[in-house]
Amino acid sequence: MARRPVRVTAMLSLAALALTACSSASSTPAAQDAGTGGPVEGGTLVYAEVTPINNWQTQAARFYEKSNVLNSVLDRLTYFDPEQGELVPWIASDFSSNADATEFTFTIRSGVTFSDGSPLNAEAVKLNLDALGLGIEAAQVQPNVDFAGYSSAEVIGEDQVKVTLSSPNANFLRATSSVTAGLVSPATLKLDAAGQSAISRISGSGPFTFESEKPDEEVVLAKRTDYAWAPETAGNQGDAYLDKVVVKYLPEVAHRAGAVQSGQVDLVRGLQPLDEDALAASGNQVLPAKGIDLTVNMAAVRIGSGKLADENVRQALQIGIDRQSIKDTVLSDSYELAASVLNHQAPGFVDLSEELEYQPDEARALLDEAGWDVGADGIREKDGVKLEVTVTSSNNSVVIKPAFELIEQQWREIGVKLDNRAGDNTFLATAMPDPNVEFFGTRQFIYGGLGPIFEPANNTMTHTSDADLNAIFAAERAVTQGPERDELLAREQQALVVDKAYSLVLWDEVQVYGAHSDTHVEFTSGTAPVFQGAWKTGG
Amino acid sequence: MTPPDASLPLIVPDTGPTAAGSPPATGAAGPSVPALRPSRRRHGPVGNPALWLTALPLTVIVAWAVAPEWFTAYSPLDGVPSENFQAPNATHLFGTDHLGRDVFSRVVFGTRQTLLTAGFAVIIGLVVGTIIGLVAATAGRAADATAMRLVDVLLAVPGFLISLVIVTAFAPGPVSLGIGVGIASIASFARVVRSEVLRVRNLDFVEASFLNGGTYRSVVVRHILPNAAGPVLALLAVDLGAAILAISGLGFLGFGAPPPTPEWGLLIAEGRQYLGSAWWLTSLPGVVIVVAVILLAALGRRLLKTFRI
Amino acid sequence: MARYLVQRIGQALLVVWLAYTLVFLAVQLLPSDPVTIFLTVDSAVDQAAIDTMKSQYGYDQPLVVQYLHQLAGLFSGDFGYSLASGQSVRDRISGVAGSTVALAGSAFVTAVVIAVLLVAAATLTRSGVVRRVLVNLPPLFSAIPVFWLGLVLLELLSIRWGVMSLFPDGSFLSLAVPVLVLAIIVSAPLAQVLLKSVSHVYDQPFIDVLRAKGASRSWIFFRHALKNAAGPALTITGITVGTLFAGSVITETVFARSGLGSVVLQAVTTQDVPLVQGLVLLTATVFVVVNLVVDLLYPLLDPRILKSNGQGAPRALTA
Repeated sequence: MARRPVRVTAMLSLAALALTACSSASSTPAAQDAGTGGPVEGGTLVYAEVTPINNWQTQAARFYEKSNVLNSVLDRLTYFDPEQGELVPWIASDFSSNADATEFTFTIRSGVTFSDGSPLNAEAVKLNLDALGLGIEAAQVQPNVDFAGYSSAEVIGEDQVKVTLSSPNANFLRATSSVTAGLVSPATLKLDAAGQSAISRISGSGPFTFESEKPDEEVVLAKRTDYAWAPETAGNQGDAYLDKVVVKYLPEVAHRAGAVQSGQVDLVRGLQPLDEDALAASGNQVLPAKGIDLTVNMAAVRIGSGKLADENVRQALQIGIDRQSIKDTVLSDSYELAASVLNHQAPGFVDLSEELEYQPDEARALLDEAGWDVGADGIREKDGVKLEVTVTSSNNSVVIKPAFELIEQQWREIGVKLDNRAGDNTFLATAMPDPNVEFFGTRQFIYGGLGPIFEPANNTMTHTSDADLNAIFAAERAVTQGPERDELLAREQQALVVDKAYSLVLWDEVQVYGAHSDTHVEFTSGTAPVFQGAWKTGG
Repeated sequence: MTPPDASLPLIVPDTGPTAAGSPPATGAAGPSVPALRPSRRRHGPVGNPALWLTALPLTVIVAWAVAPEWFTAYSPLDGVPSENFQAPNATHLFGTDHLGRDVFSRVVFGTRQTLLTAGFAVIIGLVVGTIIGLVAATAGRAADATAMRLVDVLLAVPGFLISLVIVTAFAPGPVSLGIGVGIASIASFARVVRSEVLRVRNLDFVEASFLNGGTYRSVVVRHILPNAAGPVLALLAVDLGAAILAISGLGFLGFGAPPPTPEWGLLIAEGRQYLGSAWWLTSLPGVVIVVAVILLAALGRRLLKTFRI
Repeated sequence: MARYLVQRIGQALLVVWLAYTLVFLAVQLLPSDPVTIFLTVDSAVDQAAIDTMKSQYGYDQPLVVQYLHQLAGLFSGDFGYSLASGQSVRDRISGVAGSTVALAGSAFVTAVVIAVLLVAAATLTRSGVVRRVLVNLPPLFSAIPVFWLGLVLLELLSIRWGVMSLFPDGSFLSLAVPVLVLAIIVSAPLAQVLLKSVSHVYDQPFIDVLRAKGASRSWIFFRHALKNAAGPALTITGITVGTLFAGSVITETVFARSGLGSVVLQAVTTQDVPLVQGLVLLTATVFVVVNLVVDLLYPLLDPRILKSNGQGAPRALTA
């Protein structure tokens, strides 16, 4: 507990790096409060998520709405500590891999139990790993995509589990830190599809357990008083300070800042840039949670329609984006412009910002060179085909649609027409599996590295399998540590962003939370609020 | 004492029975309504000052649709990013939006798209509804029962759900939005046409034209449809307003046309995100919609009075 | 009467079945399918997995087989399985339907009260200005976008003035405000029909007789005019089912209430065919039941109808 203020300050200074001097108001109140008192026991924290979730099946928790809640219900084998920038022990008190990255051994912490009373022992971990790596056929659960090459797990001795992979995967350990690799009770694994998707029936070992729910309106979590197995570096090693966490839903962006200001919620996700200053000025907090576990926000390029098959065209679009203008107009100082496909704090990040400068003339030249000539209406065409491209994205990010509106204007100046379907969830459902939709505006969890999201021929990011890229991914997976790995990571980023330009990068992933002045909360590297360490000054 | 009929809002999307065998509802089909009195129609629509009073502001809106560039100097698509979120002022009457675009210009330029989409929806309702209503009223009991069952089905499936399905199936755009919203208005047109035709066909001169050797088609085209047109025209105006609202509702739920298309419904639906800090983005286009819909409803009432009394 | 009743119930069932079939065909227009959407969650599309799951849920069967299978399921109370929510359609809908029924039911009652009060005030006032204002209120009510009204009220009541919760917390205002928003749009057509039929009643000679006998204005209105004018208003009650449904979807979304609104949006977005079908079955049933009740009540309010029955059904135009 003594570490707490230090951690808060460190967290804030991390955030402050991204803030220019004029907007530091957002972080001041928290810093002052953190200096005046320690954690307060008790109380209920009301947390407003963006949209309701009906299907809580844990492996499919690749959405913030799910992972932000399940983060406090399910523990994992390992935990990524953002400060140290590395994995630390959690349910696995020790973990190691062989030199080939094909065998991993986990030593399971003793004394941990699931909320249904059953022990979280080596056998339970094995069952979970099998479910994650192989899926559960009876319940129509698909394997976790980050568990590529999973072959089997066996219990060794009293408290060890050894995982064998059919091919090297240096990212396997990181994958065990993801909420999507959350450990559930063996009884939960035996449930049918409907049972596994009901949060009321999911039993984890986390600091909070399910108490009640009103469908589509709220989920109430209550703390486990016997919780004593937080990640090694967590400030709070015991049970949660809060008694309860109430998760509600606030789909209307307009009301989010007001909900905090009027004291109706203690924490809200998805604050829009326009409301940040007003919220900070009212004495409340604007908390940007950095998404180190994710790629940056990007327009992933699909070449199915043929219009973007030429890498010169993709490169032209990459430098035809005025990122600074996006930041000045539709983002805020909570956002840091992307300099690669990885966030600035991610392990192996290389700064490619020089390649991402806005050069409209150079972009026009590249397009001319590629044979796309400006037509009568100002839109380029080639062989009778207009350079008209479509972008799809979910509506869950408050800034992605306005950003593409601005990009639409910028690209129109270089003769490219963008059909902006960002924020249209209905379109997304059909566009995600459609390689002819040129852009997918997104950011992805990369617990398994960049490989799983760009590598398969049917990946939803690019819908294409690039042999050169895949060779780098394969090499990267086989190297566990050291300069050689960093070099391979750098080559991946160079290829994705510059040489092949499959990823038009925009800004580092960050989730901007609004928090009441009494609320004290930190976030995981996956931007989930850590309710186990949170408290409220008012109790 | 006179009953409050001075500006009776007669337009309600229903005048027929809900199912065969049920009673005729109020309105033209009922026995209490006075029959058409041609002698009182000498002024016609042209000589009615009240009609012009509602029609004139609407012509301004139509002018926006025809020649938007006459009404504003700003581009509806390109803004000045550094001038975003300006409150309404002398240069930007309706303020500017999140990308620094002039909101008034977006409203003016959005008129065409709005009227085209809503108009398309109403035309679908009109054409299909008229056919169903006409068949129901003139082709015998079996046809009537069948047509009215069809209308019941259209009413039983929420039009809203159909709109969502169609817009999802064909990507939001003027055509899919028009079809989706138009299907929902088929039922009301069918009912109005049916009851109007039933009323007209019993009039003496229609009976007379049959006796004079008129065919089914000539009687329908020459006598029945023109005489039944008044209330249908009135419903057309009101329905146009309803379609504009329905499209804005779809926009609110995320089923609107993609940006940067300026469209009224989309403007209020998207501007709502900034309701707390930039009220004008949703409120001023909202006022334009409310005024337009009220004017259309008033026009419908005027038309009805002009044709009926 | 018994024969009439049987006939009407038969027609009602026919309408429900036709609606169900029509929507089954309509959803086939959707460009994807629930299985593909469910399995394409931000990751690679595994065609083998999709095919396996499709066959598990019967989506690989010919359309006719799927349709008959669904229809057969209905008779055994099996409405299918909603993939996206991981629940059976019956559980998914019944879990939240109560909330929508409470909202829509209260809104309908409120709308009737608003319409009657408005018409009463417009009829009984001696001021021409007040009458004009009141008579023009229904067109205004039906010109305001529902979601806009709801959002503005929330912004003012909840955020600026802090008198109501942003969330449905069970407090009076958290139900009353959405109910009022929904009631306002539903009251508009009711008030318009009522105004019109009241004015017809005032044209009748018996009103003059009552007046001559010295009956008070409000006595005439509430005891005679309103009673006689209620019939036509009743017939459009059936139509309001659709308005209530669409209004509920939007109102629930604005006020973050659970209910059929979120189910509808989810069903369409994830192209969850069984869920869409379940919803249609529900709304069509409500529609025909309401209309059946209205048709049965109508003669009680206006006995003349039974005598004139038959006039409504037209004969063929040509001989």
